[in-house]
Amino acid sequence: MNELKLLFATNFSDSCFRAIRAVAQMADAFPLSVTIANVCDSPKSNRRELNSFFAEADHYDSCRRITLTGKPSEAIAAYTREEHFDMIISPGSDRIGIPRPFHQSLRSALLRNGSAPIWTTSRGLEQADFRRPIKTIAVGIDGSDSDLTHLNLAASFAGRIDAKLRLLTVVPPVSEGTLITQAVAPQPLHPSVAIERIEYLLRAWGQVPTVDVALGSPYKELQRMAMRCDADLLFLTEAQSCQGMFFRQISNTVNNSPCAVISIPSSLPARFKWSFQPKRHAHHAVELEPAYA
Amino acid sequence: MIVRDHLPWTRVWPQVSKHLGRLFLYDATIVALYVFAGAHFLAMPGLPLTIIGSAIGVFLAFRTGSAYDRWWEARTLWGGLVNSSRTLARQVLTLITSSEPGAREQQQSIIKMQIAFVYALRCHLRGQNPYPELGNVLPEESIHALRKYRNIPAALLLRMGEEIQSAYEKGRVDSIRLTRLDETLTELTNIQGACERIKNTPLPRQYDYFPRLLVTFFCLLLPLGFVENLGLATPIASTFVSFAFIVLDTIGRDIETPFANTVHDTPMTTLTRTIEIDLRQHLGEREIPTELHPVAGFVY
Repeated sequence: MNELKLLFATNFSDSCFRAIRAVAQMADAFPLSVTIANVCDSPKSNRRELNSFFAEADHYDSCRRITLTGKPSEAIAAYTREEHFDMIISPGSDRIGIPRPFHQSLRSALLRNGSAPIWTTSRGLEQADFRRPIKTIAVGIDGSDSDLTHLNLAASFAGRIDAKLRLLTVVPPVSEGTLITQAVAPQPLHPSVAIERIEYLLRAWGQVPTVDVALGSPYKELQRMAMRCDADLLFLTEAQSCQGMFFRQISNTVNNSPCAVISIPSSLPARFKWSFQPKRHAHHAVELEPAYA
Repeated sequence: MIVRDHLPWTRVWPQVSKHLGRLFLYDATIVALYVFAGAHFLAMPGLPLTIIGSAIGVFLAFRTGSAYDRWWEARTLWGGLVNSSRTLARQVLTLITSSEPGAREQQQSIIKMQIAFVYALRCHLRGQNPYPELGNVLPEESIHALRKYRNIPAALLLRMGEEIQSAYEKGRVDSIRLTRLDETLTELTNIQGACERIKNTPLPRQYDYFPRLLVTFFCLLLPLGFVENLGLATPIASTFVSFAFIVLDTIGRDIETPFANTVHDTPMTTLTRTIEIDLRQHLGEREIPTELHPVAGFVY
């Protein structure tokens, strides 16, 4: 029960191949049970390819491969709920070179279905260093109560591997033209207010981790702050991860993130917890259930 | 490595679409100025374009050839690694005396370290964490000891050398056989060094920068040479010719880094599995991993 249960949803794209390095990094930190899933029309047709994809996982603690049928987002979400996965690995789709304004991202659909947190990647993944252990975990927060689930999960993850936690918040720029909009918006309008709100939100934690505040567009500033604090992993809410009409597309924050991203669905139950424990070598100062988790 | 016969359009198009889109708009602007605004001074004779195009073609062919040389050298090195691994396993099983107690375990230990070495080398080149895979072939304490090293494959070669030296000290192998075994380890070291050289030394940046600059310059001149004769059809013809040059430039860039963790890589995962299957069979194991097949037309 102490293993990290991952569902790796793949369509054998280049991005899926690139994501293997990140799974290897997690496999080094946690006892891992990985299920590699491919959604196709006929379960038999892709079996040989599925067996050859991510061959490295054959040597992991536990690996199995399954084919699902049906609409990918629904099939994956249903299977995740059925098997109680801790996380879904779903890298971005490969670029096709033409704009897709009406495209519905699989990841945004999975987030809406809310079956499990989604680990995903950006286009800058090639530059990310997946050999080193995860040292810094950044969390994008906007000061609302909906932050608590993903904050707690991020803190619990950081505590398990003894990683540093950094809270990133963005205060939208205020001008006379946007004053009315800002007046009714829930976000704080000044950095000091943003910090106060975060401290209030985390009053039960005892010690609040480092908070970074920036002024500007959240879609641009979060990724910049993540880069500045040398984050290895970025936790985002569903609202921060999606954009576009009806939030059907993945946001630029995710697409331009300098590190891997874990997006937490807003409909994830507040009691959702990870029970996996790190491997012996992965934590030096043991703090499995941090005070703020 | 791509093994499918038909390269899908969606694989090439994303890499060139932005560039071609901008060029098409530029070409259309030139045509509009020439045809509708009477800017006839924009037209230029075709002869200089032919000469420049030929020169750039030679430059691009040379660059693509250099990139291919790197890719092929990487493939050759991994082919050599397969051979050297089999050689080492054969030598360990036949040159080290296995009749006395503990000798068989020592043989197994060296061969498993060789399997671990190829895993570790692949991970080292692809920037991947090797430890989860090593757990399948090495005992926990060996993996723990390896965590001290920055270069895991080199550390494994050292460990193999120490094991062979230990066999020599125990009288399981004589000095002539020891030399042979050491030569094979040196081959492995050379292969690792050559792979690291390719990984860490990029193609000279001039080969990357100037072809791109010259191709862009040439593509900007193309509509000026075409517009007088082709008129409104210029954007289509110009974009098509530009596509050929841009694709040639892109191919070179794709294959110049054979260990970059892309589909253009040397198929290290498949080769690693081939080595593992062979070596485990040499050891007489019954549970042999399955062979790997192309996935969506790619051998990884």
